[in-house]
Amino acid sequence: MFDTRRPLIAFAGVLVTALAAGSVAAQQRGAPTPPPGPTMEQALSALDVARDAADAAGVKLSCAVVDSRGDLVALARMDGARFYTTDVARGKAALSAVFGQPSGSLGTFASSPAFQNFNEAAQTPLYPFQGALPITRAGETVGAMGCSGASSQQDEDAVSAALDRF
Amino acid sequence: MTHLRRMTTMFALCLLTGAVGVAAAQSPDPLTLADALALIRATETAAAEKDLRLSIAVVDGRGDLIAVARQPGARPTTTDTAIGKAMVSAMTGRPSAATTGQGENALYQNLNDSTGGRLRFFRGAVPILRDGYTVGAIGASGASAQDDEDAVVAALRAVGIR
Repeated sequence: MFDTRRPLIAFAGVLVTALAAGSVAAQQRGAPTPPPGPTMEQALSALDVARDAADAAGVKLSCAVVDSRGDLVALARMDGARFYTTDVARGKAALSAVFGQPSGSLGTFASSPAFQNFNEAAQTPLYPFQGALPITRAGETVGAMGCSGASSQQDEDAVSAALDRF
Repeated sequence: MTHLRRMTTMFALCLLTGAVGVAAAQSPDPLTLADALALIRATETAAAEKDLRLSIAVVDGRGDLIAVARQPGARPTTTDTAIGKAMVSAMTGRPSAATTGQGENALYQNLNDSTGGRLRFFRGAVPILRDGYTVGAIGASGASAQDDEDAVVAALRAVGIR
């Protein structure tokens, strides 16, 4: 008589073996593969472009590029830009990356209690002002870039000019 | 006539002393973004020799961030460590290594509070000097503390900030 449990057991055995092999392979891998996101080279190149745009507009900015987690990839403060603009640029970019939206669209969210919770959990103060845009690839947010130092619109314009570097 | 000559000499002397005084009192040129980016690139070169993946931060003489970059493969948390070490170095005018284990020191605690807790008291950052003044600091994070420091020292030597 055909034992219906046998193929099941065999299948379970194959599954366990495959899982074990998989976990060993995972352990043998060295450094974690960097998640898809803006690389340092792309970030520095985008910062260059944003700087040119700021020069053309006659403003002094700090700009920051973060990954999808909101972690900093690169940041540059132009000579003459105020000291606090680094934090603002980073905070706008982090917010934009976490929510996958322009930081300017999150103004009303700032007054909600949930924003306070996000702000406390974040490693850097979040700034819910216009001036940062998400970096998207195939419909997915892989990071964000934000600028600070001029009017919100000028900040965002510098970001727009540089986004094609990603 | 003699009187006039004496007056002229004194006037010239005054001008000369004034000029020397002004020159001595002048602050050194501040560190520029171009300086900072050149130092970051040079640190990358030094890191490549040992196959390290670092975050590199440059701050000005006040300890305020000028530029930071994280190499692919460097952990996300290393940016804030690089910044924190560079801030300590700029604020104290000493290598951050000199503050290792000093976190409990009241002075450093106050300093850390004033920055919102951003300082990191570990080896890996050194001050950038111009005419003997601290005009900034450079810090790295991502490898061993000694490798971090070696990379930024090599970068400073290569770029030769004057």
